Amino acid sequence: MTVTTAERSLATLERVWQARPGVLGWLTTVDHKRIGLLYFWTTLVFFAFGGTEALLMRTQLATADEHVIGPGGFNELLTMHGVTMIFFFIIPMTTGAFGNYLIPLMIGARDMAFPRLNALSYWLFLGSGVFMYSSFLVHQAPNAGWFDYVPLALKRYDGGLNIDFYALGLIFNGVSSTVGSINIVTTIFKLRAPGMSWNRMPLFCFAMLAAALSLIFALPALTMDCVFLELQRKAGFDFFSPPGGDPLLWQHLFWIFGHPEVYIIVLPAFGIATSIIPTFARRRMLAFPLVAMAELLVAFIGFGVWAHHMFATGISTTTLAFFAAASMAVVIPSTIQVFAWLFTVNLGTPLFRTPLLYIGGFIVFFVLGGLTGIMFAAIPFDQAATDTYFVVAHFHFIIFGAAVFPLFGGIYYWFPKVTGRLYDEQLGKASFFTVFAGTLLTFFPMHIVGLLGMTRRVYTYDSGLGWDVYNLIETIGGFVLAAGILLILVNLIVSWRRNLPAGRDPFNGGTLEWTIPSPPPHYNFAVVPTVTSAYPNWDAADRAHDVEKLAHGESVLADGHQTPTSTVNDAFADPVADMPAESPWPIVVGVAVTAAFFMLLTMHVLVAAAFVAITLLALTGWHADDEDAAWPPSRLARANGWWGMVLFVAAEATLFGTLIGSYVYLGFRNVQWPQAPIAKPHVLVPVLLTAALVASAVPVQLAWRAGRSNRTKAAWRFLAGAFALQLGYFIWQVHDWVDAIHDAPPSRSTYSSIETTMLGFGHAHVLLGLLIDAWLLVQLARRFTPYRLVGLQSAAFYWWAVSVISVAVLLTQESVHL
Amino acid sequence: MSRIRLEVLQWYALIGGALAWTTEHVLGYFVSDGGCSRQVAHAGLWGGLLVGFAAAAVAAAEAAAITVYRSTSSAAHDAPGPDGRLHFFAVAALVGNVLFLMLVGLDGLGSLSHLPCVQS
Repeated sequence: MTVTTAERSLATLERVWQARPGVLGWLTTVDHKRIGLLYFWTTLVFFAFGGTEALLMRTQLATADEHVIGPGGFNELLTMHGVTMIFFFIIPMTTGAFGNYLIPLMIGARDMAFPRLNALSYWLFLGSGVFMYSSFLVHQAPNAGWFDYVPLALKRYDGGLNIDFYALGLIFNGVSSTVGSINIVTTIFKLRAPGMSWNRMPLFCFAMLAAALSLIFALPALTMDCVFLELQRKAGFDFFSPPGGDPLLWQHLFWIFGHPEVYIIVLPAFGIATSIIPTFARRRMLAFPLVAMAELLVAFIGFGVWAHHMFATGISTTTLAFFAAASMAVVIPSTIQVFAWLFTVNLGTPLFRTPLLYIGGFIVFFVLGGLTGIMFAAIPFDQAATDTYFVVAHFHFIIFGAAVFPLFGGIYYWFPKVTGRLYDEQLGKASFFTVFAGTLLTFFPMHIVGLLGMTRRVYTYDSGLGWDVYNLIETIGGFVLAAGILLILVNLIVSWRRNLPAGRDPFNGGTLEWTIPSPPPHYNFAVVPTVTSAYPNWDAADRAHDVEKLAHGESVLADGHQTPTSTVNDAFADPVADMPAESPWPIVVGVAVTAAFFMLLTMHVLVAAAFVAITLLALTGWHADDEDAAWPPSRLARANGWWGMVLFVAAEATLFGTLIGSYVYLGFRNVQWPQAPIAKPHVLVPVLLTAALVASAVPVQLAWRAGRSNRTKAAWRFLAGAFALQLGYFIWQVHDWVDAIHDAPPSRSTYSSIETTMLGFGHAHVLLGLLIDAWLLVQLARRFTPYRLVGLQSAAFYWWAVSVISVAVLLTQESVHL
Repeated sequence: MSRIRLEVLQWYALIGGALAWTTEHVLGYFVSDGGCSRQVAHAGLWGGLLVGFAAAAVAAAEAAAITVYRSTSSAAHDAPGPDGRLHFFAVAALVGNVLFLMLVGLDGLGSLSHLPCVQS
C-alpha cells in the first residue's frame, strides 16, 4: 500500500506533538487544550463549592428565624460564595478554560504564545484556590463580604487571619489572571493564521481580547488595594483610617477594579453568544464591525463608572454626575449587541437547539438585568435601593443569567468538539428549562423583597415583614437551579461515555475549530489554514485549498513544535515560531509561590523569602534549557516575547498609576501634606539619581542594537555598563529609603505610608530589572541566540518604561514643593 | 491619500476619542474632587477647559474616521488587510466616537452645572 504525502505529514505531526502519557503528562503539560481542560474541571469543583455555599445560605433564609447557620458562619459563606464565583469560577472558566482551549483553535494556531507561562497561570490559579479554601480548615475564612470594605476589614474589627486570607489570596489569584491575560492578548496579536487580519477575526476572540485587556488594566487596582490593606493590618501603615487616611480609598480602588470586572465576566459570554448565534441562525453575524467595536467599548467605558457603586457614600454631588452619565452610556454598546443578536436570529433560519436556547435565556436575563442596572445609574434610586436585595437580584441576573447561561450554552456547543461525542438533545433542553425556571424563581423575587426593605447579607429576619413567602420561593428556586445544573452534568458525562461520535462539524459552525477533527489532534491543524473571511469554515474553496496543501505537504510545519506567527494588524506571515514541549518548571514555580504565600500569611517572612529564592532558581532552570532556534531570515513584526514584555509593563504602569492616584487622593484629604512634623523630601539628589537611571536605559538600547548586528561582545559590554550604573542607583536609593523610613516610620502618618510604599515599589522594579540584566549577562556570555536577542530587546523596553515610571514617581514625590 | 497617513488617521480615529474621554473623565474627577476639598482653585474653569479640549479631540477623531471610511469605501468588511482592516476600524470608530462625544458632553454638563459638593 502506498503511503501518501498527506499520511506521511500527519504521521510526522503525530510523532512530533505526541503528549507524555499518564499523570506526569498532565502535570508537565503545556498543551493549551489540556490546560484548558485542567481549568475546566478545577473551576467546576470551585463552582460546586460556591453553589453549595449559596444553597446553605438559601436554606438558612428559607423561613424566618432559622438557625441552620450562625451569623459568623453566614458571613464566611456569603464572602466565600462571592469570591469563589467571581475569582475561582467565572473568570478562570471563561479566560482559562474557554479561552485556552478555543482561542488557538479559532485563530489557526497550534498553541498559546507562551505555553509554559500558560501552564504556570493554571498552577498559580490552583495554588491560590487551595490557599483561599484552606481558610476553612482553620475556621478563619474571609468574612467581610466579597468587596471587603474597610474599616470592617481592618485589624481592629477583624483580628483573625480571615481578611489576610482574602487579601493575600486575591493578590495571588491576580498574578495568575494577569499572566493568563498577557498570554491571551499576545496569542491573539501574534499567532493568528496568515490572512486573518483584524476584520476577519472571530468575534469570540474580540470578546476575549477585550476581557484580557480589561484584566491587565483592572487587576493592578485590586492588587494595590490588597497590598495597602495588608500593610495596614500587618505592618501598621495607615491608608484607611482617619484623620490622615480615608476608608473611601479602599472603595475607589476596589471598584476601579470591580466594575470593569463585571464586564470582564460578561464579555466572554458575549463572545460565546456571537459564536453560537450565527451557527444556529445559519447566517453571518449582522453588523459585524459594530459588534466587535461594541465588545471593546463595553470594556473601555466600564473603567469609567467605578464610583456608581459609591453613590450612597457621601462623595460630592458634582463627582456623582460624572459617573451617572458614564453608567447610562455603557448601555448603548450593550444594546447594539442585543439588537445585532436578535436581528441575526430573526433574519436567519434558526435551529432552536440547546446552545441557542441558553443564548435566548442569556438575552432575556441580560436585558432584565441591564434595565435594573440603568435604574441604579439614577442617583436617587440608587441611594434608596443600595444594599437591599434589589441589588442582589440585579447582579445575579447579570452575573448568573447573563454570564453563566452562555457558559452552559458554550459547554453544550463545544462538547462535541472537545469529546468527539454528541450530547443528548432532549436532556439538554430539559436542563435548559429547569435552569431557566430555577434562575427566575431564585432571583426574581429578590427584586420584590429588596423593594420591601430586606437588606442584603442579613443572616436571618423576623416573620411578619412580608418577606417570608418570597424567601421560601427563592430557596425552592435555588434547589431547582441546582437540579438543572446537575442535569447538565449528567447529560455530559453520560453522553461522553455512550453517545454517537460527533464527527468534525456536527453543527456547521463557521469558525476554524470546526475544520479539524473532534477531538482535535495535539497539533490542532495539519497545515497552516487559509483564511479569507471571519467564517472560514463556510469558505469551501479555502478548505479545499487546505486539503490540497496537505496532499502536497505544503505549510505542514513538522520540524518540531512549530506554529505560524503573523504581523499584528494584517496577519501577514512572519517567521515560524518554535514552541516548547512539556516542562516540569511551571508546576515547580506554582508550588513554590503557593508555599511563599502561606508563609507570608503566617508572617514567616524569612521562609517566604526562601521560597521566593526557590522560585527564582526554578525560573533559571526554566530558561536554561531553551534550544537554539535558527536566526529568523526576516521579521516583519516584533516577537512574542517583546509583546509579552509590553503587556507586563502596561500592567505595572497601571499599578504605579494606582499608587500615584492614591497619593494625590490622600493629599487632597489632608490640609497639611506632608503631615507635620515630617520634612518635605530633598530635591537635588533624587533628581540626579533619576537622571542617572534614565541615562542607563541608553546603553541597554545600544546593547540590543549591537546584538542585532551580531556584535555580541559590544552588546555584553553595553549591558554590563548599564548594569553597573543601575546597581549604583539601586544601592543609593535603597539606602536613602531605609534612612527615610527610620526618620519617619510609615506607622506615624499616612504621608509616610504612601511615600514609603510608592518608593518601595519603584525600587522593587529596579531590582527586577537588575535580575533581568544579570540573567542576560550570564546568558550572553555563554551563547548568543535569537531568543536572547528578543530578551535584550525586551530588557531595553523595560528600562525605558522604568525610567518613565521613575520620573512620574519623582514628580509626584516632589509635588509637595509646589 | 498616502498609506501612512491613512494608518495614522485610522489609529487616531479608533483610540483618540477613547483616550480623550479617559483623560477628561479621570482628570475631571480629580478636579471636581479637589475643588470640593478646596485643593484645586478655579475647579469650574479647569473642568470646562478639560471638556473643551476633550470634545475637540473626539470631534477630530470622528473626522479622521470619516476620512478613512471615505478613502476605503470600496473595500468590503472582510477584504484583506490593510484596506479591509482600515475600513473595518473606520466603521467602528464612526460609531464609537459619537458615543465618546456624548460622554464628554454629559461630563461637561456635570462639571459646569455648579452642583453642590455636599449631597442633599
